[in-house]
Formats: sequence, structure tokens, C-alpha cells
Amino acid sequence: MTSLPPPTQFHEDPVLGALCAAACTITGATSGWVIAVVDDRLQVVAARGPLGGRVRGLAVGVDGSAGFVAASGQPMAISPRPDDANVAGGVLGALGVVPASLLALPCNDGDEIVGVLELVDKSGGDRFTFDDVELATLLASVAGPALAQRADVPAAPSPDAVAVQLRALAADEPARYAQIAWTISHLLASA
Amino acid sequence: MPEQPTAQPTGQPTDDERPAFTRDTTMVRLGSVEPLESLTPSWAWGGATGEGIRVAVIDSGIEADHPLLEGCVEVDDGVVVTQGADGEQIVTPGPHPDVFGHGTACAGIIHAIAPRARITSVRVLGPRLSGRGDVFLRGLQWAIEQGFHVVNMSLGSTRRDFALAFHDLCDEAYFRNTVLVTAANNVQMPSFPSLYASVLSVACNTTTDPFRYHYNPEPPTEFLARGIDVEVAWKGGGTSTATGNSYAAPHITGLVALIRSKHPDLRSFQLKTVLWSCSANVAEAPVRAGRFGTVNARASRIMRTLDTHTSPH
Repeated sequence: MTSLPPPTQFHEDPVLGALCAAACTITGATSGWVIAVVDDRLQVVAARGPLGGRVRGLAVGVDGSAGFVAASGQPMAISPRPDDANVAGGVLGALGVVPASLLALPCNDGDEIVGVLELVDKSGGDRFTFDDVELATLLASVAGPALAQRADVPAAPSPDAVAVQLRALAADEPARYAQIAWTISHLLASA
Repeated sequence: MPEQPTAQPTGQPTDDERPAFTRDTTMVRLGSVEPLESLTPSWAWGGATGEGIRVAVIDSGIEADHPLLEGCVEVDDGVVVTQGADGEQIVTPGPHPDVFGHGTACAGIIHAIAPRARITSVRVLGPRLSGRGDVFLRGLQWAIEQGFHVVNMSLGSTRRDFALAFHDLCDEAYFRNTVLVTAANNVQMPSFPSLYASVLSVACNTTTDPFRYHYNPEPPTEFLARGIDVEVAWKGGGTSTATGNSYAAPHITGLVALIRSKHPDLRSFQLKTVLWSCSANVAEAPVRAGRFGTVNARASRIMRTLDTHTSPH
């Protein structure tokens, strides 16, 4: 079993987060995540639910259910057995979890598969239905362009990261730091 | 001076003077043919097992030793298609595992319907996501070159730059009498090769009967078969319950294997007609009012049969 990496700087795109939340609500999934295709790897870029909180920012290979969906362009809606080898890889493998039900859909930007929307554990222990497939497919079709646009926008650094950079600037270029500090305080005062 | 054609004594033009399409059609005269009303499920696949039929499953591989497959997989004849460092497609023959489970599921459905058909794995899905369209194309090309009777493709490509290449391959398969069965895309966007007239494109219906399928009068998806909550063979020797058009296509593949084993001379378009005729909704649809009034197709066949046997000559 692959152990989860320590949490790194993670900035969730609000659109992808909202789509993920909507997909969970509309299908009754307990947890879900949006995965971006990055070369031959998959990376979780938005997540919801108790399992989702554990996988934000996680990068995995293509050997699991999401990998199949990304490779084939076919959705997957299964109720895996406890010993199902197919869920031993990818995000679920990293979690060490075998969900009672799983639904994974490709996210397209134009005719290119750019990600996967994966939902697990439909509430009540039920299986994901064909209606769930169709509803979640609509959301996945919106997630695709959102994923593609996300790649064009660099992630903004966190406030802590900015503070580190400013302290370094204050030590190395005090005049420059003073100028920036004056500008920021002036902007805040006029806001 | 050019040689003048010799006119027939009756004044009719010679063979050299006629357009090609009007020439003597002796060579295309047929023997006996089956009338449409005979195309029932019993006629089509009654008693058939898929014996003598080779099926290719283009997918993620097949777990050949899965207990539900009962040794139906031609292990040594399978191939793995990958993309090399220079972008070329590499076809590697020999045994290989199922990397995802999906191919095993499809093979299991086909085997359950056509238990004596021999199934060969063409693995086009693997650990790399790049180049998958080219790999898929090469896998399909290989299967056509090998002369399989039926090819199951429960996957597709949405890349429009592959559309023409898939179209050409599908036409080639059609003329070589290799029947291609594909899963329709689950989303509302073009997916190749499921859009082409030369293939059998399949989506889900709501039935639980693996032999009950429907004709869809609004193509490109032409048939609807069982694909919801299907108990399927899965990677690791076990089973899973799966939903999707992916699992509908192999139901039709299995039926095609049965039909072809019983009627080996049928061409692809004839197979499609047989499938149409045996569809549940066609059999149950009211026929146009005729001698027997408005009845469904099944009743009409019965009445015609009775009429034939009881009418004075």
C-alpha cells in the first residue's frame, strides 16, 4: 500500500471545488475528487468529503480506476468486492480504501481527456445508477474546460509563503521592502 | 480506322458496348435466400454456441485464467500494443495481464453468451496515457489484419484528428467481413468509431435479460443491450457489479458470435438485419395493416406460416 505523502501547498480551484461538491450532492456520493491528467500521472486538484480531505494535491500513477477512465475515455460505475484488485492502485490505493461503490467519469476539454471526476460511496450503501452516470457526466463536461483553464493560471502562493518572501526581501533589499510595505499599506487604507 | 464492334443479329449492343453495370449477371445470381419473416431468434442463434468463431477484445487485456472464462482465451495469440520512444506503434505478441479489469469483464460477458467462441486479447490500454489514440488505431488494424470474425471495442476516441483513420479501418473491416461492435459514448460528444455506419454501436437498455436487446431507430447508436448492474468477471479472479455502455456492447458481440457460428456466410449488413429483426421492440411492434390487420411482427409471422400451410394451392 502506498502511504500518503505529507500535505504540501495546495490551492483548490473554486470552480472545480464547486463542481466536485455538486457532483457529490447530486449523486449522493459521500466523497469525491477531481483529478487532472498531468503527462502520464494523475493529480487530485479538488476534493470533497471525509476521504477527499485526505487526498488533496495527491499525485498518483494511472493504475487505478481513474487511470482506466483517463486512458479509455469510458466511465466506470462499479461496486467493487472487498478484494478488488482494480481499486488497489491510483487514489484509492493510496488511501488503502475499497469503496462500496465507485463512479468515475472522463473530463474532456474539446476532444482531449484532461481529467477524471471520481465519486465514491453512494449514501445508503446503494450503487451508482445510470441516472447518476448521466447527471455526473454533465458536471464532468463542465469540469473539463475548467481543468484546462486551470493549467494556464499559476497557483497563487499562500499568505505564509508571501510572508517568507517579504522577510527575505526585507533582509536583502530593505529599501525595496520599505517601498512595497508603504504601497500595500496605502492600498489597504484606500480600499 | 478503329475496329467497329460487331452488332448482334437482333440489333442488340455487344457486351463491349454496354455499361459495366448492365452486363450479364450470371456470376451474381444467388442460390436460395431466407425471407425476412424467417429471421427469428430461433433461426438466428437457436442451438448455437459460438463454435468456430474468433473474437478479438480490444481493451485493457484479459485475465485469461479467470475462472469465469473457463479457458476460452487464446492466451498465446494475444498482443499488447504500445507506443515506442519515437512514436511508432509496437505490437508485442504473447500472454499479458489485464491492467484494469475492464477487458476481463467484457470477455466474461461474451463468453457467457457464446461459450464456445475463442477470445483473443488486444491490449491497447496501459500505464501510459500519451499516444493512446494511435495505439488504439494500431490495435484495431492488427485485429482486422488477423481476420477475426468479431471485434469488441468497449472504448473509443474523442479525438477528431483520428476520425478519418478510424473510418477507413472500419470500412476495411466491413469489406473483409469482420464485424466491429463498439460501445456508444456515454456522453453527448462524438466518439470514434461508434459513429460510423459500418460498425454496430451499442448503448444500454434497462433489461436484466442478456438476450433481450432493442433496435434504436435514432442512430448512430443502433442497438440497446443489457448494461446496467451487470455482474461481471473482474481482475483478481473475482467479480464486480458494473454499469455502462461498455458492458452493453459485449452482449451484442456475443450474439453476433452465435449468429455467425450458425450462419457463417452472412455478411455484416445481413447480420445487422438479422439483429434488427430479432430485436425485442421489432418483434413486438405492430406491423403495417395487411391481410391480417394490424398485429405485431411475431404474430404476423405465425399467421403467415399458418396461412401458407392451410391455403389451397
